[in-house]
Amino acid sequence: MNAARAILGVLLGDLRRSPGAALGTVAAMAAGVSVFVAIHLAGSAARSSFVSAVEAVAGHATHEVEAPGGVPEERFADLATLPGIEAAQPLIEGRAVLQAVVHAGQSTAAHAPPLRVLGIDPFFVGRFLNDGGRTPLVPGDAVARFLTEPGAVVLPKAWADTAGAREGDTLVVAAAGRPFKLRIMSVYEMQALGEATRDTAVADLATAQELFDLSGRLTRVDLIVQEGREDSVRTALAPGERLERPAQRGDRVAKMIEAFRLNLLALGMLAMVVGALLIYNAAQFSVVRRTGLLGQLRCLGVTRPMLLGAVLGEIVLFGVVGGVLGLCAGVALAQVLIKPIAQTVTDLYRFVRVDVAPLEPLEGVLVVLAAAAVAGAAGFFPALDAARTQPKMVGLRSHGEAVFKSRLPRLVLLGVVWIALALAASAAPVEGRWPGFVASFALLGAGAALMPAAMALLLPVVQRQSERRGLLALALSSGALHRSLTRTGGAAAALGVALAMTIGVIVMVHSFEREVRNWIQTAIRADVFIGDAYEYTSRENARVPAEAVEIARNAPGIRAIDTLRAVEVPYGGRSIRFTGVELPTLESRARFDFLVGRADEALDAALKGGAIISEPLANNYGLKVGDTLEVPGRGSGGVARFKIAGIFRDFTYDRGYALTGKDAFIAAFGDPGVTNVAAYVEPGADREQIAESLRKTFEGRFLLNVRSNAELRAGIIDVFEHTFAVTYLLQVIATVMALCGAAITLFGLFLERAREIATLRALGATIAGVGRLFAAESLLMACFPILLALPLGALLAWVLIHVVNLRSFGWSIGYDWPWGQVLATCALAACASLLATLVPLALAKRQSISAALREE
Amino acid sequence: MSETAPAASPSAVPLIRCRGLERAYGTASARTVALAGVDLDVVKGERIAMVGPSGSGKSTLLHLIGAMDAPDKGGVVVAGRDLARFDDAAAARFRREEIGFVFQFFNLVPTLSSLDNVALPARLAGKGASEAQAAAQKLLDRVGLGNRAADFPDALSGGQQQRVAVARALVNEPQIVLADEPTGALDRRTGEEILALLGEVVRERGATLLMATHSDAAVSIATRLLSVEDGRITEDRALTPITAPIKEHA
Repeated sequence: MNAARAILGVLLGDLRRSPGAALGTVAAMAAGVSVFVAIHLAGSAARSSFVSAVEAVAGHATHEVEAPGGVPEERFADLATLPGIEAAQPLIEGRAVLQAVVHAGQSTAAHAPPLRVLGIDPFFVGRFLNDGGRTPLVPGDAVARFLTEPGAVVLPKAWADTAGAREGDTLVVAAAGRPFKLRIMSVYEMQALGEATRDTAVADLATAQELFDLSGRLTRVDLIVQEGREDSVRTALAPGERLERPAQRGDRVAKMIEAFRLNLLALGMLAMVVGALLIYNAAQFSVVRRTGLLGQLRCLGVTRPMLLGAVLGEIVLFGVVGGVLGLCAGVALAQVLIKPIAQTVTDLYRFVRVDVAPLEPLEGVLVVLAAAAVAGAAGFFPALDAARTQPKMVGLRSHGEAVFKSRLPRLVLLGVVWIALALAASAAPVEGRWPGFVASFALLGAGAALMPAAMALLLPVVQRQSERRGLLALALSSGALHRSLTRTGGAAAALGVALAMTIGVIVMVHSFEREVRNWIQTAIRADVFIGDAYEYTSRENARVPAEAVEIARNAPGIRAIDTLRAVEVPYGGRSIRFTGVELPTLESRARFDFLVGRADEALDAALKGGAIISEPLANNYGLKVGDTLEVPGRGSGGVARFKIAGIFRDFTYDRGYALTGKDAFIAAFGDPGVTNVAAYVEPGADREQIAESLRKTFEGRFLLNVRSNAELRAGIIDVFEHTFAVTYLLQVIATVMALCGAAITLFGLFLERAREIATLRALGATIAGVGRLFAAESLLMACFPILLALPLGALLAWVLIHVVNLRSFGWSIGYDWPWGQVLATCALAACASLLATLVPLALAKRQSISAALREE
Repeated sequence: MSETAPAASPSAVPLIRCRGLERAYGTASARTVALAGVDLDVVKGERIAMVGPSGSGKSTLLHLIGAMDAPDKGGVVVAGRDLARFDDAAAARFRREEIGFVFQFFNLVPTLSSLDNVALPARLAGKGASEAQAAAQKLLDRVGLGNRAADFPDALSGGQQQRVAVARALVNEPQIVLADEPTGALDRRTGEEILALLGEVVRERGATLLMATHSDAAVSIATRLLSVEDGRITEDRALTPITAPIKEHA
């Protein structure tokens, strides 16, 4: 033990003399860990925001009864009195968006997070609260006012503070497509509902029903069912009603963003892979650089196991330090990532308000241990090389390089194995998205393994050819890179892997965007679209009020309107969207791009009670034309059945989307109200003008979003771009990390070669000449990764499009290669690499030739 | 064999003129004086051996004459050109055209062959690859390594590497060759061979040689001996060099 500590002391003492390698290892680890931790925290926060809200509001409920479009109010008494029911409560739940606060008759525009409003019955709620009702939600002396005063709400203090509202004030909120006034009856800490409900207000059932335009309906009925009586309750359900545990709803909600989170985590892991490559690189170089020192230690009697332990211990120590630093940076980075992630989740799934929770101490320890393990794994083979150092190799760095080069055939073999794994995973008849991820990472592994071998093979060729053609700087630089392959190989591999992933994602996103743009041409046919102004924020209760629908129907210049009604229904353990439509015009029928099924026949069948389904729904659940789609509804046995008549292309919902005629929809799910209106104008009418006229008509009465065809198309592209904002951000981080790795490597190489540079200058090379040498070296360091990244990125894009995307989301996308973007990315990498030479060049310029030569 | 008077004739125009050279390194609190007021005139064709203990200022003097460093005080004029007036490009051109360097540890570029190492200064001076390589091959033949032109430095012995370095120093036919401990990394016999070779090739080309050395054998090729101690020239005397025939080198 003492000996190991002594050796470690010697090694660390040596590092103090040239701290660059240690800093590189620690920085690589810290960067990798920070990205991983940030994504983990931000992704988990989004998930827990979904789930905890469900669970906290559920309180002590063991079960809940739901129905598409809501549970009829009169059913509550039936359910509450069923045998085996200990307690029941009716519940309304929805979101309202604050518009203004009225204080002492003075209205002031205000902003606060969307307010979740729970409509409750104060006489039933107590049993369901986390504290069993000991702290009443509504103070006893206020119950009467709570029940009788229209619009009365009890607000959480934190939210009220944010909104700048006080007891007695009136809130003007938007809900169900119109403004609504809520009167703040009291403001107090909502401890009974827990922290997850900090944005949750409580109102009387009637107020909530009016607020969300749910007259005569309940969102659900919460139940406390006696043990073993679940089946008897189930048999008493009306058609369309379903009984489930709150956790099931939580799971279903969480599964909505499962694929999204997994993709983010995969990107986080990419950052870890790049970090691990950089650590391997730093560790390998550290061993090679210190071959002499290690040889001396062996001469002094240090055994191989002792040396292995000490070198590995040193690398793991750096891993721990990097892990701790990465942890801190990751928590900070999570705050940056959380906004675009929350925005994307809100755009695509449902509103989330997310704050990054502090990392649990145990999680922190696990992350640091994982960082140490990654560092240990990355540094194991270099440490083994160190342990195998022969005492006679004192001072021979070239020996280390020779050992590394002798391993290249093995690296090539490893690369071939990775490629085989990638091919096998891509072709594997395994469901789910894991084969795609395995194939992607295997391709990256292959690239990382093959890069040093490619450099070893090609750099001497470059050197010979450039010597023959009189390109002195290129000849010298290719020779220098080849001579330090232990270092340059790993750094180039890390950059190549990051660039390949970037190119892969660019190609995938570009191909995706092209498909979406083409799809928009077909799918967005109506001239004017009307929807709830807060459709994204309060998707659950987004409505176009019936009065507004009629105004639109009768507006001058409008030829016809199509009303859309939508509900979320559970299917296959997840939620899918079911929509009812009218399809009154030829254009509304022409908007479907059928992949399977004849358009007219399929649409006629759908209008008559069948259904057409989107491609993701078909792919995710293996549904075919002719199959019957069975979902909870008001059919026999509580199931609504729809025969699938066609499969159409759709990019709106990754979870899947089914469409039937309005009548069949209402028969199956009741009428939840119109969620969207698509209007078609008279021939020759100005759609922009009609949209503007509708906006003016709605102003002050409704809170609706009226968009022309062009505005909606632009909005869809906008959401598309938001969706990939996080992806691009993470790509940028991984690429910047890799570029920093390459820059640090180049920097180290230049510093090490101070004497060589001084010799060149002593022989008459100008600073400009040295600059050309540095430039050639840095461009070569970028060229090899670029040459690797182009084919590897093309393959990755293929896997992302045809394996990951298809299996994660069910979208089939054509492959389209955006040369401009790809070349710009490569040029950017080359420029960044070139910029990395500026500091060493400035140092070379400042450095005295005499001093550098004297240091020999 | 030796005289006590300076070798330079008072009437000859000096090729190198150093006046009041002072150079110190380090910070104010830890200052090392390398040169403390050196005056020196060197006439074309002289072969000067500078002897003295380590740290006495020999290398610093060579570096100042070679425009690789600048004095804190005083000046150097070479062939009528004041080195203090040089910018980086002019200094680089001066080193390329007027100076040839031989270093203690050879300082060959490890990724270039012997031929390309010798050709390197010619290439830096703008000569084409074939022209530079032809000149380099002649010099390699001259130093006895014509058959090792394609070999890389790591395949050559120390003595062979230093011969390549000598050839490299002469490829641009400089007026002045500066050699800093050229035998310091070699065994005695090899060192003597290198010194003999260096003296021979310098004399053949009529070049001027300034050499910092610890080797007693250096006096055998020198025409003048300078003793340097504590940054000052303490002895300056003319020598009669032994012009023994150059031995065949392996």
